[in-house]
Amino acid sequence: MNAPSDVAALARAKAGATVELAGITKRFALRRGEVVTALESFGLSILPGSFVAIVGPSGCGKSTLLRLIAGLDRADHGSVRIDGEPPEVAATGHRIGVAFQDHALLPWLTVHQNVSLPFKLAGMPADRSRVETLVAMVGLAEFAEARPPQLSGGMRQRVSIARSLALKPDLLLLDEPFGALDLVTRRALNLEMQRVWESLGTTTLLITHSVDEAVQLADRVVVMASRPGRVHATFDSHLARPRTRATTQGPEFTALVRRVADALDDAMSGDGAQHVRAMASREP
Amino acid sequence: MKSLAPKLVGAAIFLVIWEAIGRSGWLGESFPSLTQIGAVFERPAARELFVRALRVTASSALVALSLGALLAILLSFVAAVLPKLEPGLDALASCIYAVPAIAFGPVLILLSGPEATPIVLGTLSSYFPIHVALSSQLRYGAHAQHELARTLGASRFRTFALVDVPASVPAFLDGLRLAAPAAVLGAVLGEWFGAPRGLGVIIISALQNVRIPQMWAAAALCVMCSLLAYFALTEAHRRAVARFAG
Repeated sequence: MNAPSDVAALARAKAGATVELAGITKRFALRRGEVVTALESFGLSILPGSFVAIVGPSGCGKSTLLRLIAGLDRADHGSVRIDGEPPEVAATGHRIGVAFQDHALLPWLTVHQNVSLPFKLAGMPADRSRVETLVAMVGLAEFAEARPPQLSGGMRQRVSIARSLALKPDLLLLDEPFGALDLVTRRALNLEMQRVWESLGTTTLLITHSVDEAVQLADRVVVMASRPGRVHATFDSHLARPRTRATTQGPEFTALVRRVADALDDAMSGDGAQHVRAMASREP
Repeated sequence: MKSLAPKLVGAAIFLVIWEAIGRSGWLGESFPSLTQIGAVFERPAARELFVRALRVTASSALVALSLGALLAILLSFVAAVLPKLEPGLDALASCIYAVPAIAFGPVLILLSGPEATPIVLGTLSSYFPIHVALSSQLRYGAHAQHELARTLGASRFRTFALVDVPASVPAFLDGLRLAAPAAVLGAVLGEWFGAPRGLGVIIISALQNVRIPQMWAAAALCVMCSLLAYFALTEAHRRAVARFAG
């Protein structure tokens, strides 16, 4: 039942994928011929194994960007390349892991079965111990036999995070995966996932509303401006890893957070949208 | 359980009004009271006749519903796997459904004989609601899960088997509960074309002999048969939604 390449993909010593975005423009047609430009001339290079976080105002095209990289949408102009190939090639090779805002769990499967789903969809035998490890990593070992309707929103998000790592992807795309988590769980999971990412060497792109989270996790933080969505500023974070609670209390971390937050403020005031800024300041 | 009381009250009001109209003679002979209809079952010989007829019609309807369900599953799955066939299959299903079932009667007597006509008409009548419910779910349902499957590089077949099929269980049962009364009606109608036994046979012969209470007694058994199936399948649907739709 398995193509040899599937088994090879599972066994291969993982190195993260390279992502190249060049001149991406994406427009959406609204009613009556109106067109909104979600992204314009967007370019970004992501080195293999690096962790990039994207922050930006609501509606700046962050999620559109992720969908383009995942191969779910097509850009009107420009190219998306994962290791030099279109995203569909990486998807077919089972090399992409995603955790999107809509967690898309299957309600009739248990937590354990949901985390095993990528193996089944890829036509590979499920790696039981790996699934158990991932379920434990997101703190749901006790709930392994529970089904999604019995879980809280935060727990469901954690299931989708565990699922995204099941196939040891070369590229991990995360859209606000921690959004519904309380602060304590969020911090614990951030620490835990850093460990996993470092051991896998997966290239990761994270969309988040939390500047703290972006700076703590990422090698590079990209601040986006909206209408049209574009890169406003980028910051490299050279903080030593692993980044613990102590790191996040240090002056270097605090200073970088302030610079990113200022850039974000700047990106938003560029839109002249006062209420957007007011809303963003309330977000965690 | 808490929703049962209003239903019972509603049903009681309906029956009381029926009885009152029947007794008042407002609609004449053609609308007997419930007691008159009930009196039909007093004679043991008549009771036996009705029970036998009910058994025949109910089993025809059950076979018809099963065949209708199989046909709907088969055709909607084919349409889902081969989207090019979808518009054609949908149009065909609508056309068959739009033809007055009675028009098929003469053809069916020739093709399937009077014994099988109730099953064939019941199948044609019950197929459509199941097909509509299933193909709508297969086409528009589970969108987020489809995208997940795409990013994971799942083949179309695996996505269908692992995501679409289980996700369509509630829609299937939803169609099935609407199809159950249609199967009973189709079977009764089919019995008008020379079937040897069944509630439809009683209805048609009672009509010809102007034995109105007998006709209503048979009709009441049809309704009870449909309602029983409807409520049982509604409960099954409720459970499936809890299980498969979260």
